[in-house]
Amino acid sequence: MTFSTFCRRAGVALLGALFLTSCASVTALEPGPYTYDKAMTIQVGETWTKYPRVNRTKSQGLTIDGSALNTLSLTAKLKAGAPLIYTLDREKILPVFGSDMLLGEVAEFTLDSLSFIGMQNTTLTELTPDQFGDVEAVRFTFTGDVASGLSYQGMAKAAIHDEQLYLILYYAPAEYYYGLHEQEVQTIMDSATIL
Amino acid sequence: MIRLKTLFFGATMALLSACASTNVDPIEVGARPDKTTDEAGLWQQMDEYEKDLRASALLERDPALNAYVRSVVCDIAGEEYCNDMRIYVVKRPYFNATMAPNGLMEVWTGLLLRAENEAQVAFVLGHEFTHYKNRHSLKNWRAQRNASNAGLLLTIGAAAAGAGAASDLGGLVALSALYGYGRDLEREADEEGFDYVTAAGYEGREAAALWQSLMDEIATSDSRRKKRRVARASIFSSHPLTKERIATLQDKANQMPGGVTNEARYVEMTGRFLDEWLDADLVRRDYGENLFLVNKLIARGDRLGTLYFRRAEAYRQRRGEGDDVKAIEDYTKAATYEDAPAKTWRYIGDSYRRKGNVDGALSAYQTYLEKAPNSPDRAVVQLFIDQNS
Repeated sequence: MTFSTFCRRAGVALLGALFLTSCASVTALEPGPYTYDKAMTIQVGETWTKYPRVNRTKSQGLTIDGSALNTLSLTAKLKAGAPLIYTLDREKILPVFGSDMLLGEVAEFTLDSLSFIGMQNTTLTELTPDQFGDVEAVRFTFTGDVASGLSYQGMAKAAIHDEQLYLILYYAPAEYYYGLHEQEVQTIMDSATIL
Repeated sequence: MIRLKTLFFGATMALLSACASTNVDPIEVGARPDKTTDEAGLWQQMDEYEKDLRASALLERDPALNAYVRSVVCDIAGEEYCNDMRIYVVKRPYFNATMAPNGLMEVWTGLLLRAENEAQVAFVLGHEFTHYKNRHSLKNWRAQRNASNAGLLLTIGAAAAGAGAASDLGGLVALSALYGYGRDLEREADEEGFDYVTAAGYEGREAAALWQSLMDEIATSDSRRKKRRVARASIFSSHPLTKERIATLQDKANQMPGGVTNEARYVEMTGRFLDEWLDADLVRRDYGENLFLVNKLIARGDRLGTLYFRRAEAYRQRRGEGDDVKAIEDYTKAATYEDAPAKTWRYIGDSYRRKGNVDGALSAYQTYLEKAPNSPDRAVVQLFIDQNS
């Protein structure tokens, strides 16, 4: 075996190992009850794919058809001063949660966070009172566009409990995909409780 | 001695073999590069980019604003060149405009928000037009390629001579050639852009005033990293030092007769976008810069309902010590003007509610719903009114 062949095979092996490692951390979330971060429970009716949790945030991403086609994000115990999203650009300043926010302001904070990561023309379309288990909450819907011009729709449910934010956020392309799992997401939000 | 000769030979060969001409003539009206050239490759890439941009949600499609910005560009560049250019107003809250080799110009809303008058915008657009007319993209592309080739070959030559330190020098030479060239092009764009703008009758002093205002804004930034980056500008910076740019432009302006700023027309054309642009700017969460901009606009004395509302928004979202008091003061001040957004009363209500002033909150919320009966948050506001009336 020549040196170049060795290098090529070693490279392939390394890439394979990296690929397998990353695959291992993407898991299926089967229908049934799910407890997130020992802080929130939801009832799932379809099989979702669970992305690895991003340690920099308090969020867990879920999808059925791929993150560009539908994204459900669970956030629990987000403390004051913490962002919902993160960036590697250290020159930028992220929107952060404030524990004295009113629930209407939480909706704005959520949409600002989506704007920060590139969603354009984010617009709140409805904000209504709701319950997160026993905790006072709001549910809101919104629209936005991604840079390529594709229009998105979204809905979310938010509550502040013990000065920490609990948020279930869903968004998908307005055409076809949003409606495809809308009922499932409504059911998940209806079932959500704070532990 | 043999090593030194080898090093010299290697370096000479490297430099000779790396040279490709960066002497290019200004682009002619209606010209398109031959398909076999490297320039055609640059155009093709930008044609693809432009196709995506046309469908993008980032585009500000307001016809009047687009026509206005185009008219400013055409005043500077002349009708013939203007026919070769497509100008797009892009919704990005940063100070910028760009010009691609194929005639695609982007004017970012962050620039329009920061400029105080038409002359200031014209200067930036004249600067960008110079990049286009003098084919700076092609020059820069070739200079970068040459610098990269020279650096690589000098490194190989030095390594052959066993000279580790000289090998490092190869990378350094390549790097400073690459960025040094950018500084020269920027300086050229500043100076020729200034000439186009003053020839079109604009006030030359506004060019330096714009850069100075930008420096003043950055000094107020909440990002220490951003402030440090500007202060650290060095020979490796891709732009000439800002102080040098200001001084050069001031000197040129002092030798010119005065011109027009067209401030009234600029305020008329851009004023109705201030609320939207300042809102987008606030998403950056750089409260220092946002407040600098709002205060500058308040000093202009126009659309004060919108602007006091916007300043209150910055205080409300910053949540610093005493910001709650400043926010309610500005919301209240905004409410005395005709152009105050309906949301002013929603936030007055929120402020009172947070302080436990239920009567104050109820009164403000009721006004809010009268002014915006179809607001998307009506149900939540109405619930508070019903529970506390």
